[in-house]
Amino acid sequence: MRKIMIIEDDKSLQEIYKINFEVAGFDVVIEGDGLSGISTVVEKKPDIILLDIMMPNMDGFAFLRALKENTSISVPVVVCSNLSDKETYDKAFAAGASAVLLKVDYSGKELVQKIEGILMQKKSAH
Amino acid sequence: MFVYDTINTLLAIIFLFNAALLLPLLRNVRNNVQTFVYAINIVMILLWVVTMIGYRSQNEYFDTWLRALYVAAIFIGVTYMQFTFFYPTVLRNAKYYIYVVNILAFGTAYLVTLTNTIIVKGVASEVGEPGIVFGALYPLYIAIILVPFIAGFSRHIYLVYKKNVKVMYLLSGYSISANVAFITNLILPWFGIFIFNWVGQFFTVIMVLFTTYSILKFNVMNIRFFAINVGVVFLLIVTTAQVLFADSIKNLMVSGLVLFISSITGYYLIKINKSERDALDHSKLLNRKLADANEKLKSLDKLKSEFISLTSHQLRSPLTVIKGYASTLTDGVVGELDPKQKEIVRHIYTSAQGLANVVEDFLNVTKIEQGGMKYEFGLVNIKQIVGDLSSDMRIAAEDRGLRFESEIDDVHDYTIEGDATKLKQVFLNLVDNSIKYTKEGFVKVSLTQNSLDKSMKFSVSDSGIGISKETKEKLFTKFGRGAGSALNGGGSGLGLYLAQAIVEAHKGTIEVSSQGEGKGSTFSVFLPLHLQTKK
Repeated sequence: MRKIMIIEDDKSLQEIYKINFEVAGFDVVIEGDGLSGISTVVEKKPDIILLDIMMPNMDGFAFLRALKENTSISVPVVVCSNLSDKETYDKAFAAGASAVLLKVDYSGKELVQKIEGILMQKKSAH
Repeated sequence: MFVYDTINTLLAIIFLFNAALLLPLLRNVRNNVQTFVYAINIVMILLWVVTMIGYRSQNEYFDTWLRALYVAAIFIGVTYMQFTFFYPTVLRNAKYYIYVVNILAFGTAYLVTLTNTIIVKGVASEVGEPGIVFGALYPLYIAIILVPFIAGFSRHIYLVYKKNVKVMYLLSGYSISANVAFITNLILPWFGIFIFNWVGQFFTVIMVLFTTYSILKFNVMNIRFFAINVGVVFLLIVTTAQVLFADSIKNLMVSGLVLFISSITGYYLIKINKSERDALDHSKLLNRKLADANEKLKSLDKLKSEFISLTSHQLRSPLTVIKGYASTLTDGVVGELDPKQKEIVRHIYTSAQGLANVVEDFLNVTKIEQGGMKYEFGLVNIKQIVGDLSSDMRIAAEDRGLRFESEIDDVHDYTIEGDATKLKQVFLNLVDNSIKYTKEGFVKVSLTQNSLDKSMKFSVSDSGIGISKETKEKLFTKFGRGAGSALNGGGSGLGLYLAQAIVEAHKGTIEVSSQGEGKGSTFSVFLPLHLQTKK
């Protein structure tokens, strides 16, 4: 089963994402901020990570840096935030994000489709 | 002490001329090293003129005046060179050259005053100009005067060659005066011709005139305003003197008239000068205030964009949740809703989406207005974009019972240089508007090109509510929505404003035509085609 780790501090969004991804057949792991995400990512071994930017304790950028510097795992990270300025995009890509999405543009189903697309691309690339 | 024959009187006037030039300089010497050096040069010239008067008076200090005259001449050259090395910019290593020349100058001054190697003695004359017996080292003396002048001239000639016009007048004045003096005061006496020995001093007037002109014209050394005032006072002193020393009634009347006219002219000159100066001070103050205000505006602008960026993030967060829950319900993820329930939740979803679009539009307008709209230009296949959006919009139009027609030229190439995402946004916005404002009939999309001016045209026509003449004028302004907007509500009123800004950033134009209200409308976007480079 495909496993997705969702790092998102908004409880409602956690619920929406969990429902939609589970219905689509994903094994869903929810983490409330970057810090708890980074401490469990090695153990949980997700196939893909959905990452918010503005979060308490450790934000999305810091998570990306920590993932690159402190772990040896390679996992695609899709940044999904409601920040749309170019700086955020540039910074996220520079820190190693595979894709950057504007949260408000996606309904639950559309987000699932997007993630499935990225996973598919990754599989065919291998 | 001095004998005032015609020549000495003339020299005294020349002295006054030089002194008049010195006065405005003195006012500025403390805060400007260039002015300081130049003022010293003028002081040396003054000494040179005074000593000439003293020497020509042939009194009991004849020998002292003579030697002082020749010492003053040395330092004119040296200080002139120093000035050229400091003005208009300080020459690299100027200090060292000046040290060397000064040491030579003081050495020569010693020889002139305390030995007979350069000047043996003066020869007084009852009738003509006094003469001088020169020593063996007189050629050395000539060299010591010439070298600094040549160095100074070279530097300023180089700057004139480099198009420094300010220096040109200073250079011209000095070179005329110095060349004359070189012949009359250095070379001719060497050959025993002393009758022109005073002409050099007289010709400093040329230097004074050129320098004054330069000060007035270019405000060289920032002393123009004061120089004008000094000039006026000097003029009044001279004309008053003429009145006081008038030797006949006729002269007195003429001089009196001249004084009268000079006083009035002088008064107005000073007055105008003062107001000009006040205006300059005032404009400087204004400039500073403007610069300050500009700084404040810049920081406010930054705050504003940070604020907008944060606000839009905060607005989007709850919208994401609303859209997320609504779509979870309508997509049947948590069980199927009945059709009525589904329609209601669908409304929640589209309203949230509408609000998200409004936030997007506001953000874009702010970006455009702050010049921060970022375009990612590349080669864009317009035909593909229009084709894709046509199939999406066909569904939307047919959902509302409208006929959707598309007329896409499939012969030509429609590649342009632009930002694909933003252009798609423009086209979508136009088609979406047409669908929104058409109750029945059709919406038609077409893509054509003009091979003459290498441009393409995307247009959307409809059989909708049309546009009145008054509305047309404000259609592309911010919040300038059409009269029929009450029909559908929603929207930010910024769509066409944004579309125009984006099209213009692509060097294109956007137009609207309508026969009037109720008669439909056509929106057209013209964009320059990308010219294929030959392979």
